[in-house]
Amino acid sequence: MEKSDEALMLQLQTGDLLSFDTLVKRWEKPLLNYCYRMVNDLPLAEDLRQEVFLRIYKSAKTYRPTAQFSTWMYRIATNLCLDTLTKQQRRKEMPIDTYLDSESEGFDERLIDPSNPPHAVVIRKETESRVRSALACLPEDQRVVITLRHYNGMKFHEIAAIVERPISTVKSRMTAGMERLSRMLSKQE
Amino acid sequence: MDCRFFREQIIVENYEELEAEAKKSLEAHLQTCRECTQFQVNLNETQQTLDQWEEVDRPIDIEALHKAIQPKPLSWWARSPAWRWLSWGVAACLILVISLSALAWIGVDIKWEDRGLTLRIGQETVPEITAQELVRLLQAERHATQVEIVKQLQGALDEFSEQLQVHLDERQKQTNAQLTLIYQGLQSQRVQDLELIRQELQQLAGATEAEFLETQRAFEFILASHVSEIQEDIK
Repeated sequence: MEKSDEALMLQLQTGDLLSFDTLVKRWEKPLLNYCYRMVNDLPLAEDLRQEVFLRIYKSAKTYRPTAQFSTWMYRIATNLCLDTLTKQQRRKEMPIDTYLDSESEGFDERLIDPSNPPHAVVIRKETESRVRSALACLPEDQRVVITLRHYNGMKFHEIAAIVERPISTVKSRMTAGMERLSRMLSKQE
Repeated sequence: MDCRFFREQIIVENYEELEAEAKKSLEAHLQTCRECTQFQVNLNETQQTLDQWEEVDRPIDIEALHKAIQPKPLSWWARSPAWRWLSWGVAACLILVISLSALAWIGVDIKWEDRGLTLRIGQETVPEITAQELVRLLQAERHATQVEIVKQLQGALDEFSEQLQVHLDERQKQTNAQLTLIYQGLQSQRVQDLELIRQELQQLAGATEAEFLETQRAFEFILASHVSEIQEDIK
């Protein structure tokens, strides 16, 4: 039977590095994608993921299993992403096209996938670019909520715990964000 | 309830978190509200579009992570206790030297004397004095001492006179007239003696030390003789 995240954290408190490795393996992909969707920069997202795991390791001794591990982890990641965005002031310094170019210029492995016809891949890539562009244009508080709910599958009450806001605020941010995304994505079509 | 509320409910429903009661209420609203129905359609499309951003999968460099979480190795000097203590000692000496220099710079007098390191803040004022002034001061001090002794002797004399008077008063009450005459003579003599002593004492404040001591001895002798006489009388 697979051990829970909280049990692994308690083992880590006793110095068990293997439990830390298990946690890393379990969460590396969701965490990377969360950071990536927040900062829209894959190399930076990888650095942030590494930093989140470092912080988890360093603060393992102070961890108390009163809340879910995932909530705690995403709170660390959210704060880190928002700090990074604030420091870099990415929106002011970089136009939105730069976000798209930073990833779209690389070689896409999906182009050689025989199950994906080339034109479908191109269309999909184009849509992905539009989504990334639209998400990057959202205010950060709305982007956090939409990313956690839509992509990372967190429940509304869990998101409320992560961002430390009432659940009603989370839902209203979600509604405002989704309405905004609908307008942006429908205009581009 | 307004459409704003139901649009929030639509989003919650689309993520399958709406409770059964609220779901029924929403469905009833959607049957009557075209705008909200359209909102739901748009939301479904938006969610599908959002799904087009596929997940990336880049495994973490676990070795680099392990390296990052390991405590940094100590430098060569920190590893050796001798070097570590030496460096602390050098640092402490430097701090001491800098502190003493700073104190000297702000005007604190620092000297190494027999008792050890002495710090003196500000100038010590030693008044200049001449030999004549010193003699005058010593004389004044001696004079003050003499005056004090005279005062003490006068006090003792007064006390003795008082006791003598009490004694004589007691004796006078006795009926022996002869004795009374004798005692009166004695009293007269002693009163004269005492008056003499008082006069001498008044001059004594300005006397030399040798004169003072001589007079003091004379007074003591007179007083002692009076005391012995009185004692003899009493017997």
